[in-house]
Amino acid sequence: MNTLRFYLALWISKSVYTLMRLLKRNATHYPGDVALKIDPAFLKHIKSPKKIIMITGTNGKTSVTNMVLDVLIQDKQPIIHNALGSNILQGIATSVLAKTSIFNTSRYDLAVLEVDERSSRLIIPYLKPDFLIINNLFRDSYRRNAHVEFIIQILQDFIPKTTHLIVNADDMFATQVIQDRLFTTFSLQPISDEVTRTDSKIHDGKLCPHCFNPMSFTYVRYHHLSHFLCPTCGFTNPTSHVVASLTSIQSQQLHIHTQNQTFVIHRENPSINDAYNTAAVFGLFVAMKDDLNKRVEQLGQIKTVSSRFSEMLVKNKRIVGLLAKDQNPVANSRLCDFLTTQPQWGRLGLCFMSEVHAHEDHPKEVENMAYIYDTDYEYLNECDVTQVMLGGHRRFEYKARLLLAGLNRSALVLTETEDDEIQAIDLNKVDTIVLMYSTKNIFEAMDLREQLIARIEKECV
Amino acid sequence: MIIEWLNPEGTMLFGDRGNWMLLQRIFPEATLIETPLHSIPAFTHQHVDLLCMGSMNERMQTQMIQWLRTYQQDLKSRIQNDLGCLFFGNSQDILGLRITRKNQFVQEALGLYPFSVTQEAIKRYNALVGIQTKYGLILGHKSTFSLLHDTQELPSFGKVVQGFGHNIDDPLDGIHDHHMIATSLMGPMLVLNPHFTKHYLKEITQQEIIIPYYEDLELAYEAKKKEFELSSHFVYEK
Repeated sequence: MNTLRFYLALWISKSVYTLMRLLKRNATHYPGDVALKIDPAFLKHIKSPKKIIMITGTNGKTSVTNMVLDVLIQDKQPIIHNALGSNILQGIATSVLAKTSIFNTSRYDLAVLEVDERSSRLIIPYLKPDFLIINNLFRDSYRRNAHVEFIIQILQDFIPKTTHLIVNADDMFATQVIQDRLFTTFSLQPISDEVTRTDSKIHDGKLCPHCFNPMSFTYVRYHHLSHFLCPTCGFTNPTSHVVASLTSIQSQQLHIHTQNQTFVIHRENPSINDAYNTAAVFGLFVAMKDDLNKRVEQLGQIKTVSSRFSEMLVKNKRIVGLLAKDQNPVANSRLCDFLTTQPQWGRLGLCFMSEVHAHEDHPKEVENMAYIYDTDYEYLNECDVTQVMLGGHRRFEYKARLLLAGLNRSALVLTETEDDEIQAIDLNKVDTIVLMYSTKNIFEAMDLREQLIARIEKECV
Repeated sequence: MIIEWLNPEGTMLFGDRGNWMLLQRIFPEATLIETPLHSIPAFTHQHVDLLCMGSMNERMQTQMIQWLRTYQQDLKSRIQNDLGCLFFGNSQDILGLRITRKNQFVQEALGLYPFSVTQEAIKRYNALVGIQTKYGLILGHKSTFSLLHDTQELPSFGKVVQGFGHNIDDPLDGIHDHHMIATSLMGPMLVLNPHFTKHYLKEITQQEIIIPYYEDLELAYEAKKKEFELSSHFVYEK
């Protein structure tokens, strides 16, 4: 170890961190960047906290991380975390260095870190997690994440053998990572009144990932989350250690069966995703051999704050905010499916705001829109969509895609920029306006929501 | 019109479905055959006008090679007899001599064309690509682990005017042999390049082609073309 280089990196990056905090800047990424530029092996050299819990996977990482933190924080133990920061290498480095002394001792014993699955290879070999939750593995950005097999390979290659995995047993891809490792699996039983969706364009598990023969399914929740069996090689769901169940989709009592005991967790806002997330977190506590009765009580007390969904009524209009993760066809297909389940929202005006570079006049790159051809926009034909606002550089591509999906041409309204979408909505034609924003455009979308509120208050009865 | 897509479950990975959607709209009366992996391809025993294949993961490439090796000579002779073929994304890799992965594992490929492929597992090459072809300027994206080498004898699809070609130093891209076109451009190339689609389909069918939403697709193409002129994006993800 080059001691001088490491300590220079630590001291300078900590100074940068302190300075940025004093200036009330968002010190969640840059200090780590500085540290890694000075010492590329910074994470290898920095003293790890005694216990590290990590959360990775495609969808739901942030929610699961927040749930774990909300529970563990009740133990009054200080925790290193990146809940407000970045989940890639620089963000993780920042979170850890901030709680490390200038003599390279970790001031906290416990870390809970959300880790981007693509970046995990740069993080988990050094900050070796004791426990790692893999909530699910789906297609994501084609540019960055390539395909699910690529992410599985990264996780298989780089997760230390000492790490205890907590894995979704309904996910045929996530379960492939458990080979030769300690693991705890969780699953969610089919729900009696659950409406499953089996007609998506995206089902990467139709062929067995081991022998490539057709897979058979006794139950498909959505995409490849399923009860599967390969008739040729026998590949099937692993036995689940933590089995979650809901008596109905609206039930606020999540039943969890494990180790011959049944626990009941009260959930305020039940949903399939929330049930999976809760089961994952409970699986972690089972793996940690925690006092489960205490954890059940704590889990029942926490409230899930969603950055992915918001709803408000302004005069006679409903405004809904939905995160339409950019470059992610699964998340967008789930969103379109969700819209089909909300007939009470009446006539829909959809504002597409998920273009990554929409708010740059001259973006340096042209966003790859291939993913919109894997997104199930055809589901929108099942809703009463009266207006679709398409603004920004990619508006013509969206229009072409939606026409191919069968949407009515007269419903498609093109504006030069996303900012113009709000003014172009015909408020007489809609009951609900859905703002579909991306992870990159959250603040802009919130501004546009304010403009929309002002317009409705001025123009509607 | 009979159109066959080889193993759509495994070779529509990166928006290739857009091509299939558009072909269905252009030829509503066509017979569309989706041939599952390891079954007998239709082109080997019946007339097919257009054969398609799209992007796949690297393990699927091995499966496709093992499957199609039986029909290698058949495919070769049908290409020489003007079978229309559109092979998108990394499906072109399997047409060459071999694929070398992580500098060690060598996968013998179909050997239809003289080139080899290297794949470094973690390096993903991403680029905006403009290719000047006999059909005009083709625009698209590449996101690939594959680079093609030893391509001197390849009948190329076109010359790259933006991005990179067979590999970082090669200005040529793709393969164009009779009516067979292979290109490393990913995703919905037919939708993104309507002038190409019209021209190429007319060439293989000898009929006038009416493309639904043609003006809308052209507007999208022209908008993209303007932006390409301002961009020179090329990266690989670490």
